[in-house]
Amino acid sequence: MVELTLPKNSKVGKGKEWPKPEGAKTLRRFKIYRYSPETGEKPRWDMYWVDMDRCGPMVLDVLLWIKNTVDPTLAFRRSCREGVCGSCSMNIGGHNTIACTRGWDEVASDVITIAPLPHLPVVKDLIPDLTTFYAQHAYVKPYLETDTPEPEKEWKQTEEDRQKLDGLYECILCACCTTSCPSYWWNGDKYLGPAALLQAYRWLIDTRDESTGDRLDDLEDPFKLYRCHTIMNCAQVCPKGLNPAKAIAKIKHMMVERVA
Amino acid sequence: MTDKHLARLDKMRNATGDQPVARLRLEMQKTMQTNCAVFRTGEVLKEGVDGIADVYSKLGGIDVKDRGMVWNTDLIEALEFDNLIGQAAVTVNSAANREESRGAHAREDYADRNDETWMKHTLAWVDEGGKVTIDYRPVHDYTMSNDIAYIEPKARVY
Repeated sequence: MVELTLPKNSKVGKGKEWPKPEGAKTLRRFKIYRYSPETGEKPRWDMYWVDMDRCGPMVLDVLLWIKNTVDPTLAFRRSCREGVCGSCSMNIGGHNTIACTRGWDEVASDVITIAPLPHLPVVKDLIPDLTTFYAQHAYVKPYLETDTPEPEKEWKQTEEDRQKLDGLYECILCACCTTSCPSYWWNGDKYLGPAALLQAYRWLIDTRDESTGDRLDDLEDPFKLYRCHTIMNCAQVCPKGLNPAKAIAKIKHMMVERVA
Repeated sequence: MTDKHLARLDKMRNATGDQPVARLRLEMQKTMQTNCAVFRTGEVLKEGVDGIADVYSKLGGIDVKDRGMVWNTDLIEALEFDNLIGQAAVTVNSAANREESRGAHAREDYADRNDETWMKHTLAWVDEGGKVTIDYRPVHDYTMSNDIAYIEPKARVY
């Protein structure tokens, strides 16, 4: 069915322009998405002026500066501030990334736009609802599954086998890739998305795992895996430099090989 | 949850003062960093005790701008500050009180460990006004089983 009306909260109105900080020499404008589920109002763009001489180098520093000195009501997730936790993922200057590793001087535009990750329900301001994303991660069973009795110490692996996991295990589940994928935008309820599939592949090629067949069965339908059309946005945005599209291609290979 | 817990939440959620959470937190952080770092002296710690008491006195004037009940990080940070300023007060007061060096508590004016006087745990209370009371309890010099003997404290040398 063609949807004739836009979904709720699709139109973002003009918000407040916050005052310029006093005595600032280097000013930069930040246009930030604001939404509160409690007011009944539509989302809006608030404009903030930031004194870049009194602010750290990253976009996260900008957000913290705004929260600490201008507007404490601004809400966003953050934790490690060094690119390992994946909490502060958002859309900065039209690009999904994590705010703590993106320098504000890397964003070319005059006004820097900051919005929540696209195509997810927004809980508040820059905080998207990641429930489905986490459910999809859980669906691929991101843990070791074995039938043989547990060894006395660890499950051993050769160095070469261990190297197969490089470029896969580093994922921090920030959801930048999944929410940048047009295929996920249209079929986010049925297509698992790049982050979940990257983890699916991480366990499929783990030589210690013994449920490869079941894992492939779980991905065998027209949507879960095959909605990847190698658009490659996932690889482009990944703040850890990983390539989910490549992992997905390799899963497709495994599917073909087991039939043949 | 008791009424006391809810009252605390309610008080913070509706706090209207002149002290933004971020400013109070920064003052606390700077004081602890400057006056309660690993290497300390009585003088430096005394300054810290006064500094933290000063920050504590502003707690009543805390200001929370966000009144929402969904993802209210302003409120969370206010409650976190409330928790931490109490911790800061007992920490700096206990450190100033302990006139010896022991483990990570390295007093430059009392370079040695003094088991004679200080082989005891500090117990500290902080009241609503930020006043700290200090008492002690003995250190257990026994183990819970006969499998292993009590290990005597000894000097940490490198």
